[in-house]
Order: sequence, then C-alpha cells, then structure tokens
Amino acid sequence: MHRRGVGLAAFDRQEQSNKSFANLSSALSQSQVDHLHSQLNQFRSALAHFASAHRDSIKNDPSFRHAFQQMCSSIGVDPLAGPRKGGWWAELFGLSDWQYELGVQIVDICVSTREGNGGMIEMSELLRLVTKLRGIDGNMITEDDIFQSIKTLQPLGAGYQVVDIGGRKMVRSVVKEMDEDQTAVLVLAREGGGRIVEDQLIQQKKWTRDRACNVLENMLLRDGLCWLDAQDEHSGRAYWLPSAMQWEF
Amino acid sequence: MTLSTQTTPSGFLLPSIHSAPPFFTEQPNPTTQAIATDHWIRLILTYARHRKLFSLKVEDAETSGNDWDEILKNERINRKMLPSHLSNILNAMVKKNVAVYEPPKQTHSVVLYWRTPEEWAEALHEWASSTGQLNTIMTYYDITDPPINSELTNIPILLLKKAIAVLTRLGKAQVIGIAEGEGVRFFAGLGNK
Amino acid sequence: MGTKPSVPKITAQDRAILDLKLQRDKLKQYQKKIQIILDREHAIAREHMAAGQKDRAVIALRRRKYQQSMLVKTDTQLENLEQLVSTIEFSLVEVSVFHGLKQGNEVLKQIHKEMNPETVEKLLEETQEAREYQTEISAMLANTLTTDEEEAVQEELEQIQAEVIQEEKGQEVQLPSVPTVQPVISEREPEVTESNHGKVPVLVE
Repeated sequence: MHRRGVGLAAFDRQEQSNKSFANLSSALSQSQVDHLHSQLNQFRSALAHFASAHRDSIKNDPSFRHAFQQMCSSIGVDPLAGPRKGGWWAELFGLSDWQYELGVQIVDICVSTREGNGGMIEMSELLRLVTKLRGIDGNMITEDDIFQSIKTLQPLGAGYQVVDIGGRKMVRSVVKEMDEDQTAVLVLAREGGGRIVEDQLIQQKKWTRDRACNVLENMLLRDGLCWLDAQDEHSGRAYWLPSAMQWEF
Repeated sequence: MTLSTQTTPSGFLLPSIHSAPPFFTEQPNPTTQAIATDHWIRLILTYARHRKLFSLKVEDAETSGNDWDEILKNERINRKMLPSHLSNILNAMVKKNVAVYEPPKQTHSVVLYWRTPEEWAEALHEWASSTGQLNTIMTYYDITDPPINSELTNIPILLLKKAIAVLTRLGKAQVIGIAEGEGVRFFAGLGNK
Repeated sequence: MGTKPSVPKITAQDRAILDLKLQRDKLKQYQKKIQIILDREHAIAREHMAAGQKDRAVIALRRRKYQQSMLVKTDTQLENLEQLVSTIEFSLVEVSVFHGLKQGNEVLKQIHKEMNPETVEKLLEETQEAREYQTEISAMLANTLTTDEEEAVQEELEQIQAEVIQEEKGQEVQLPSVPTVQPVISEREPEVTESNHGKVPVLVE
C-alpha cells in the first residue's frame, strides 16, 4: 500500500472526501426514502384500486362495507383518515367530507341496532359503537363530531336527528316523529330502567287512562318502540322500551 | 337495573335478553315478535347443543323439573314462557327447518336440528371408525345405546336415519333390512381418515 | 374399497348376524324394563312396610323375586347370544386372515420363482467382481504418486495462488475512485489531480 501526500493539503483532502461521503450517504438514504415512497404509493394504489373496483359493494352492501372497514383497521388504515380532509372515502368515492363519512358509520350502527332499540339510540352508546367500529385508537370521535355528521345527513331526508329526552341526548333514526307524549313516556321509562305502566302516566303526568293507554298501545303496536310484558306482578301489563333499558353485552 | 348475562347451574351462558321481562311475553307487534322469535330460536338451539337435548315439547313449558327449566323460566325475574308461546316458536322452528315435528302429524313436540343431518353423518362416521366398528354390522340400538357413551347416545332414530342416508349416498354406509328390523354397516369410503 | 359406491353385497351371513344382534337388542331392552320394575317393586314394598302393611309388602317382594329370576334367565340367554355373535364375527375375521395368508403365500411363491439360486449366485458373483475392480483402481491411483511428485504438486499450487493475489492487487491499484467527480464543484481546482492519488488508500482502508 502506498499512502501519498502527508502535509497541510492532506487535511483539505480529508475534508473533501468526508464531504463526498456525506453526499453519497444522503443520496443513498434519499433513494431508500424514494423506494419506501414508491412502495407506499403502490400499496395506496392497490387499496384505491380495490376500493374503486368494489365501490358499489362498499357503498351498498353493509356487510361488505363492514368487512372492508375491518380490513382497513386490521392493517392500520383508518378509511376516514386519509391524506386530505375526507380521507380515503372522499378521495376514492368522491364523497365530500369527513363528517359525511362518519355519517355513513353512524347510519350503519343505527340500522343494525334498530331491531333492538326501535330506532332510538343513546348518544353515549352510539359513540361507543362508532369507536368500536373504527377500531383505531388515538383518533377519538366526540359527541360533537356525531352531532355535526348527523346534521350533514339531514338533507338526505333519512330522518336522523339528535333529540334531547329527559336531559339525555339520543339519536333517532326512525322517520316517524316522536310526539310530545311519546317523549314523556320515554323520560319516565328511563327512570324505571325501561319499564312503564299506564298508572305511572296517570299519576305522574295527570293523563287520563284513555290517553295513557292510547300512547302506549300506539308505541307498542304501530311504532314497535316498546315490548309488552304480560306477566308483570303489579299491573299485569307493563311496557318496556328497549332504548331506555341498560344492556350488558 | 342492568340486564346482564347469566351462567346457569349447567354452565350455560344466558344472553342478557333472557333477563328482560318482556322476552317471556308474546309480542302483539309482528315485527317485534319476529325479532323475539329469532332470539328464542337461537337460544333454544344453543342450549340444546350445550345439554345435548334432542327434543322439545309444548308440555316442557307447562311442567317443572324438566330439562328446559333453565331457559323456559327465569326465576330471578319471576317470568316463564307460556305453552301457547312455545307452541308458536316450535312452529317457527319447523318452518325454518331447524326442527321437525316428531312424531309427524302433531304440533306438540319436535326433534331439534342443532346439527344438520350432514354434520351428524360426519360425527357418526367419525365415531364408527374411531371405535373400530367399520365393516361390522350394527343395529341402531348399538349406536343410540353404546356401552361407552358417545355424542350419538340417545340420538333420535329419525335423525340417525337421516345421517345414515347421507353416508349411504357417499358410499360410506349400507343399510341392511330384514324382517326383524334394520341394521347398518359403515365403510372407510374414499378419502378415509 | 375399490371404486365409488361399491359397497359389498349383503350376504346371508350378514342377515344372520343382524338377526342375532336384533334379538340381543330386544333382550337388552327387556332387561332394562325389568330393572325398572324391580326398582319400583322395591320402592312399593318399602312404602307398604312404612304404612305397616306387612302382607302387601311381602306380595310386592314376591313379585320382585319372580322378576329377578326372569332377569337371571335373560342374562344367560343374552350371554349365549352375544357369544354366538362374537364367535361368528371372529370366524369371519379368521376367514379373512386365512384369505390374506393364502394371498401372501401366492405372492411369496411368485417371488421365489424369480429368485432361483443360480441367478442369485450369478448376481453375487458379478457384484463381487465389480467391487474388486473398484478397489484395484483406488489402490493404483494412491500408489502412483511419490513424495517428490506430491511436493511438486503443492509448490505448483502455491505458485498459482501467488499469481492470483498479484493479479488482484494490480487491478485494485488501477481502480478509479468513486468520489473524484465531487471535488470539481469545490473551489480549489489545483488539488483535483492530487486528491486523485490520495483517494486510493482511503478506499482500501
């Protein structure tokens, strides 16, 4: 081996070569970053391709949409948390905004729980289910988010509304208007763990028996908002409102 | 009051809806009743599978101390299913093909299909081969009352015959009939394990 | 089993076995019934005794005794039946074993026919010859090289190695270094040529 040039110039040379190596190394890491970018792009386009290929299914088939969402969350992609406002959904489906997308999830939950609660779901329960459906931590959905989303749903005429019943916020997904009497029934039922009988309404609301009976029977038969218990020890005929009952899952 | 799930003495986990008093009343609203019936059917079939129960009768809702007490009654909330309600549920089960009236031409008792005949066929063949009874002529009694209990013990003859019919189609079983009665012989068949 | 739904034919034997087994089932079921009656009569006798009706208790016990004797009778019948069934089934197994033995015997005969002593002897001889030939070659090869020749071989090997190393070195010296282009950008023009030489050791290190 032969080493040439020992002197002042050597320092410069050293500096020079260091510089060259630094350049080289930054070029190398740049290429790695580029590679990673291209991989991400590839993945993103694969996801986009999948989503657009199955756009109709995702939009129209609730169980397919659910599976797609599960897939996204299992690989750590929140379909609502894309690169720009509105997320993947907005980008892939041309849907306008994040709130609207959250709305899709809210509708999903309201529809799937409707058979159990008659179309009334408590805000806290909805929040819990939305969070569960999204399955991603650190991206908290707040009551306000839901409130806003439901507002954006209103033009669709699906009848989604946040209503205040006895100081509790509830989300209603039935088209039928709940009249004042029914609201009063719901408030009272909540105090009794979901149970309500005619006498309660007569005593506490000063209703006539006919009025109480009519409201309850309508809720039972016409609207499917409550269930009948014909084995009630006290009155023999009690009404139960699933949306006012506390369920453990 | 929270409606919670409960574990019965036999180790069965009752769903929370079983703690809801109106669950034990037939619902006048047809939509609501359809939901309730679905819940009941699921509950009955999972319980039957848990306890290996094969039949359900309307009287099971009338009498106490039978195999179905744990689900047809809820003593904590003092509710029980009425016979007429159960009768309608049995009817719905037969329509959904998860039960058949047995004996036929009455509507008081059913045989439950918590396993399909195909699933029973598989279990039957598995049992015959694991107990070294392939290629041997067996009576139905040999299967329903074996010296060592199996999952086929007490299987109703109706279900057993259906399972055997499935195996016969696959060439894995052969029914032998004589004046005195019937017997069956199982074979390893193709793709034998 | 052969092809698809090829199930064996039902023979008269099969029917006979099934018949016996069905008889056995009937006896078993009968025994079950008697056992239940026995238990009930016992309970009845106890009840009567408790109620002070001794004569009735005695009647119940008599009935019970009679049923018990029936049970014993059926026991022996059942035993006979089961013995018969298992004897038949065992005979069937024996028959199939016999068939198996017979077939095996045939196969063995066939094999023996092909393996007569002469061919085997010839084959063994041939194998022996081949083996000897192989040993001979190995021995010859091992003995042909003297110690001197062996040393010469080693020397030649070293020489080749040295040459290879030399060649590699020569190539390295001539390698152009990668970063030569960069210094062009830097301000000091004259050093370009010098750094060209100075770069080599850095790379080798």
